[in-house]
Amino acid sequence: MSQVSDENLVDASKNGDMEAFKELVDRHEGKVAGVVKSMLGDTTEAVDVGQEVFIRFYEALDKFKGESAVSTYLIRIAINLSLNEIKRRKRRKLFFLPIEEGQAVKTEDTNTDMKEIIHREIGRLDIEFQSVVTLRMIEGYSTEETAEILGIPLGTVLSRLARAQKKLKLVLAKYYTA
Amino acid sequence: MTPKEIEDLYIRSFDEPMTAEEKEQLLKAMKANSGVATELSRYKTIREVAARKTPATYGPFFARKVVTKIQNVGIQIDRQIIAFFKKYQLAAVGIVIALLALNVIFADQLNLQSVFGLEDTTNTADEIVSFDFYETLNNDL
Repeated sequence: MSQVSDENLVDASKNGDMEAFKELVDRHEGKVAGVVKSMLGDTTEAVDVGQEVFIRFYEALDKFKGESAVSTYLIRIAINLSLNEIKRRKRRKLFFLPIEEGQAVKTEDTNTDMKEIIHREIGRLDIEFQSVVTLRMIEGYSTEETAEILGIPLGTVLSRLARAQKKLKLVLAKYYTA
Repeated sequence: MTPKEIEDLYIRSFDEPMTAEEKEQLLKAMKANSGVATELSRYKTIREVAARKTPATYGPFFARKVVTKIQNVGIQIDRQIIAFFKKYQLAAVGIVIALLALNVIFADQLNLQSVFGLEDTTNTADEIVSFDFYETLNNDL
């Protein structure tokens, strides 16, 4: 079914063809998983949010008129649901255990440690920065695609990226050992 | 260039195309001060480490699980019902219009009631014969 376009699969799904919808899920789950897991970590909530993204998409199929690509539409839902989950976590004060002050990470450690720290610090950024950083810096969407997905001007994407990076550099400075 | 300008330019270089002049300015500034270059390299590290290296996935059977969930909560049935009626919606609208047109054609007068076949068949109040059951019963007795 890989030669069938997303638009045709959407049309078939609108008529209740679940195999067509399953194909859409198979095609786009990687992109959705990337964004959701980047924002929520590899958690059970991330899986729940991933499923919810596609369920919301299925419910909204009639409203989907194809003005944007299916992947753009799905990523938009994924970002919104992930942000909702982050807000919920913050309310429950369960959002990432804080690292003890002064805990240093040696520069000769593997990138895995650094990756973990960077991702944790990205998770601590303000919500409007997190979505931009996730799409552009982690998932590798272009600045134009990021602007389109989030529905914000390109200039805002660039300024948020710059501010987020400065903030990350400042916060990460304490983890470097001389 | 001030250190802040250099820093801003360096950050911009990851996301925006730079002019040859800007590239030269940046290189010059970094060569002139190794401390600045080291500081700026932190941004490069952040960008490189943050970027996803391997494709993300929810694992096998994810799509099947999503479809099963949709089927279990009944959204799919709603969609199939809607899809069924959608197929015949044009024909249904046509039939309704035809019935309304027939009502208009066979009606004596053209008004909203005749269009919807709601013409009053009773004529005047005088013609409505009242019948008091108890009075009739008492008279008979």
